[in-house]
Amino acid sequence: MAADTLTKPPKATLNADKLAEATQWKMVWTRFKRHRLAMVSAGILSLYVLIVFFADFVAPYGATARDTNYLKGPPELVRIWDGGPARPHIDSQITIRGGVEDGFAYSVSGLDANEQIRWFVHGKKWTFLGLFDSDFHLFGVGDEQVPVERQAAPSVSSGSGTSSSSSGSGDAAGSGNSAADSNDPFASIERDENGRLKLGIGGATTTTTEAVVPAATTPPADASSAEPAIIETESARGFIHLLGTDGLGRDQFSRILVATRTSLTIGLAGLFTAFVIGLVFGGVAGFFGGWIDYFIQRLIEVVRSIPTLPLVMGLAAAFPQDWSNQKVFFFTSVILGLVGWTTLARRIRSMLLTLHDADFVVAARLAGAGPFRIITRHMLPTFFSYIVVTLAIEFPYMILAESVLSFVGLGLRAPTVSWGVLLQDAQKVEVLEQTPWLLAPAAFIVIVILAFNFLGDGLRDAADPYQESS
Amino acid sequence: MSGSTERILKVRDLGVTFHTSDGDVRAVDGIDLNVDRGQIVGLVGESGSGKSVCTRALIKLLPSTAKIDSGTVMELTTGGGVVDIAQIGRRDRRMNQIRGGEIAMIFQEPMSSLAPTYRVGNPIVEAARLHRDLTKQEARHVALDLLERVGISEPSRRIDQYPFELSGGMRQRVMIAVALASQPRLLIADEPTTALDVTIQAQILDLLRELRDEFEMSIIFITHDLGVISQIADDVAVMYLGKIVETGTVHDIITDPEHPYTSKLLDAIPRLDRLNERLSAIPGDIPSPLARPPGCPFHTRCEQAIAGRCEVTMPDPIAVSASHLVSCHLHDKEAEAASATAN
Amino acid sequence: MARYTLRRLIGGVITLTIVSVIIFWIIELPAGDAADIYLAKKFQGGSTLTLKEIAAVRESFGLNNPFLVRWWDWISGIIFHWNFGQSLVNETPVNKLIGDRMLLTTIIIFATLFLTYALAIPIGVYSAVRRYSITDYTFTGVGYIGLALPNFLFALILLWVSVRYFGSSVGGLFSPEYKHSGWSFAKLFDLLRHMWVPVIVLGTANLAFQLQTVRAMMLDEINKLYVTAARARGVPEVRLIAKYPVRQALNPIISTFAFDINRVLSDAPVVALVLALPELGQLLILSLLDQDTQVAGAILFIMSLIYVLGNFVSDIVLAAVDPRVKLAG
Repeated sequence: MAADTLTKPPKATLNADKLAEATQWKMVWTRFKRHRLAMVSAGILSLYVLIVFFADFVAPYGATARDTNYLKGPPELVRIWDGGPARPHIDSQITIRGGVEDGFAYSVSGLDANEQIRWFVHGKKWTFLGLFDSDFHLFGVGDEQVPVERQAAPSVSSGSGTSSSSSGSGDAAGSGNSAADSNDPFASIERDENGRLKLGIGGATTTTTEAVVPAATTPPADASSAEPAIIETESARGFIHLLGTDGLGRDQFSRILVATRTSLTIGLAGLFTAFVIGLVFGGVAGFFGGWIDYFIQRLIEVVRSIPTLPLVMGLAAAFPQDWSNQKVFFFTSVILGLVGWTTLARRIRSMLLTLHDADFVVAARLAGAGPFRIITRHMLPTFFSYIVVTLAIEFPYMILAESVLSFVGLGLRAPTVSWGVLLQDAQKVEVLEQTPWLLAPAAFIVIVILAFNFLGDGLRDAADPYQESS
Repeated sequence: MSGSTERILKVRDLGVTFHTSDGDVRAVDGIDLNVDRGQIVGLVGESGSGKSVCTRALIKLLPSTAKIDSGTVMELTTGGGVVDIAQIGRRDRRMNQIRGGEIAMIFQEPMSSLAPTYRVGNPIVEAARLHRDLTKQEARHVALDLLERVGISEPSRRIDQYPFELSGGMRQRVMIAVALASQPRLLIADEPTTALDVTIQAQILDLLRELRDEFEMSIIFITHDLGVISQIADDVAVMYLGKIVETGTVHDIITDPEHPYTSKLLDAIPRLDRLNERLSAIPGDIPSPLARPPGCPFHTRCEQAIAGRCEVTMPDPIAVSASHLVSCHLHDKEAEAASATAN
Repeated sequence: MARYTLRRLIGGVITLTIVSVIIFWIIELPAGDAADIYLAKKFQGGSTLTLKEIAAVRESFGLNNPFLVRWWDWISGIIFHWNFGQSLVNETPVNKLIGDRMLLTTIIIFATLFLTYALAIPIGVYSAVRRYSITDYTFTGVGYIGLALPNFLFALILLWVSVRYFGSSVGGLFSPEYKHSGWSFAKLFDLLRHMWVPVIVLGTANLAFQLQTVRAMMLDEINKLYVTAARARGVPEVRLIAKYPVRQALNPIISTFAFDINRVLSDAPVVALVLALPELGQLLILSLLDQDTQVAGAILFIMSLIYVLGNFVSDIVLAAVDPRVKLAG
């Protein structure tokens, strides 16, 4: 402490000197670094970004893979102490079977194996942005999870039998793999690109990870009908469920990671749409002014007069039931943009108006700088940082809107997994009572919104030093 | 002007320190100041010299990061007793009686000194009723009289207008009326004319002088403009980086500046009789208050600085005449001579 | 003032007219229209219809008219008779489905806003005056979480806590015995007993937002020269804060009153769905899930109407308290 106070004044002056000669971006960065909460938030958000890219790798299982021996299982604690320091492990696995009738008459059986967590195990095959395949996963438990295949061929028929009982998915392929992949838009897009090649491999190896339910362990009929996916995992080699499982025995942790990717991507797509519309309208209004400005202002007022989320819901309700998941995904983000552009347009407009008359712009104009130079050298740098701040502040609203939409059942639909879709399972009081850990996605939403709020604050203070920072 | 008159304010060794995240800043570094009844004292200095902080400290208007950490501010109260304002808490009830009631203040920006949503008469009535036992009606009459006195035409119409309907000069007149409403004996005028046009500026200066004569009110007039000072002040104190470097009558300072800084300030004033010369600016920047130079604060910009001396010790004030004090090592010889004769 | 009021009023009517066009477009957006649904029911009933008969049905529903005519049929019914037409799914008038949901929604909005302002103003002022105090940090922290915790999640969590630890659900707006009874003092009292949950859920985010606004405004105002000037004339501190910065900081609250209504209206449906509140928003979601856009459109329109009215009121009040507003137009 003493040393800290001693060194403080010179440090401050040093900073001041540095600031005086730094470029604008260096200046923004230096000031941003002082905002501790914003720095922490930036760290957390980069973790989210990593999840977006590596969800399949970090997730030990696929989003629809089922552990039928652990239905509605609570989160498993990772222990690093077992009478003494020990390798990270989970306690002997408890097998919970959902009763067929009432859905929660558990039969509990303990397995003796003290399952150690192992790094870089083999598991379900995944593809990185369509660039390369891998079956490595960050962690897993038990023996090496070499994709041992049993009963792949016979199970297919029994699997499709189960799925046909559910109204949906006339998935003729009936292969567990393709159903699993259609879960998230990435996988499906990827499949579109080199689908044929993948199917070939899939037949040989990928189906191996997930064997199909033997009749005895088939979960309650109503549960299975909710989900056409019939991927089933067999648990002799052990599973780890950091955040528990849902009524179908699907690993919450894996599902949340995949959902994170979906939700953030759709939020980003929505934000981008809103940004483009906002830039066009706000730019035109701010640039031309006059009656065009007046007209656009009125338009913004009209759009804002209809409460936001109800408007989003009203538009999303028009999605035909038979749309594919990609189509729903695409148009959901379009709707988010269509409704969310007004704030951006307003800010861009007022920014342009302020900039137009700002002293430094007027000075540059008087000094004889051409329009190109004024725009690129004087307006754009200020403008750009302002846009970044605005986007950071707006992003949480996009995520939130998607979550709400999917949560009430008007947005993305199962088997696509997003935060809202996941929370949909937790909508009923009875479900909450039995499996409160299904609320876990909520924490991911709250954290990402908090982080964006702090990041936005930090960026704003860094980009605009003249504004009061509180 | 000094001499037999009644001394109403005596400031000794006043020090104010700001505690900021970048370190402590001693904005006012032990200053002495005297104000007599009916006297106008000019306080001159560049921005950042601590002149505003110093006067705000007199009525405890400093932000909470600032602390008065030394000195006394002895004020002769209306009742005749002497009180040390430095010892009264910022939120003390006594302090609120002194603010406005005994020492009033007007500010640099008349544009923002008035709350935008209250009518012009409101602050005048407020000030009058806070410090004088008046009914609403009486206070309103006082307000009308004062508005007229400070030179606002049609006071009965103006009194119910909003500040945004008034010009800057009129607002400053209103602020003076607000200050007068509580009948203070000392008015602190913090650059009251800086934001105004030159003609308006002259009118306000005239008004202040008239009011001083009429109410026997003392004024501490803060400005960075020695030209303004020469028009209004009786005594002048020159501040640099939190210290008073020279005091004297306005005549002493303008015609016979002894401190190099004061001379430089005078040289920087444009003059009609020297149109062909270049204005001389003071070289260098005022140092950061975070890194105060040791010794005499002006030595970093002083052309006559004595190496090995000025950057080592702060010179004590030396009397070059009965009314004229200067803190500069250039006058050390006179000081020695003076102390020799005294002994 | 009269001219200003008139101008605002006309602006509101124009806005609402365009809004109604957009909403009517949304009503007609889904693939099937009223005639399709009517015919589908007929077919299910086993009747067979010729193409001519089908066309006649379409004609009788007015579906062959141009868009603006169809819109006028819809909106004139609302304007002149407060009649929102027929539900597409069950053959009931929309007005009947809405019932006293509109009243309940209005009560919830105003209770929420009242709670928000009653807490946000004093706490925000206190936080600003005692900046960087523990209280300030606490409320700022709580405010951040309030902003980040989506309403429906908050509702879910409350629901779970109430079921898990108190053994009863906090959902609904009425006890079973009052659900279908007429209005009485007992029913009103029962409503108030149930209403605190949605009001708290909806109020939290709004409160967090307003807290930040009030605090920021106060911090802005408190350092303004006119506050220092008032302090310099000896105005006691408490009176000073109340008379000067607080008075100024209230203006943005008044001017964002309509936005607050919008926020509550926007958040209410999903909260109502989770908590099973029989108000407009819940019906909105349920009818959208049923593809009953006739009901949904009516609700969207009522919501916009509430918003535009709120906006009008806030404009007028703002002009009354701040003389500068009228000039700006």
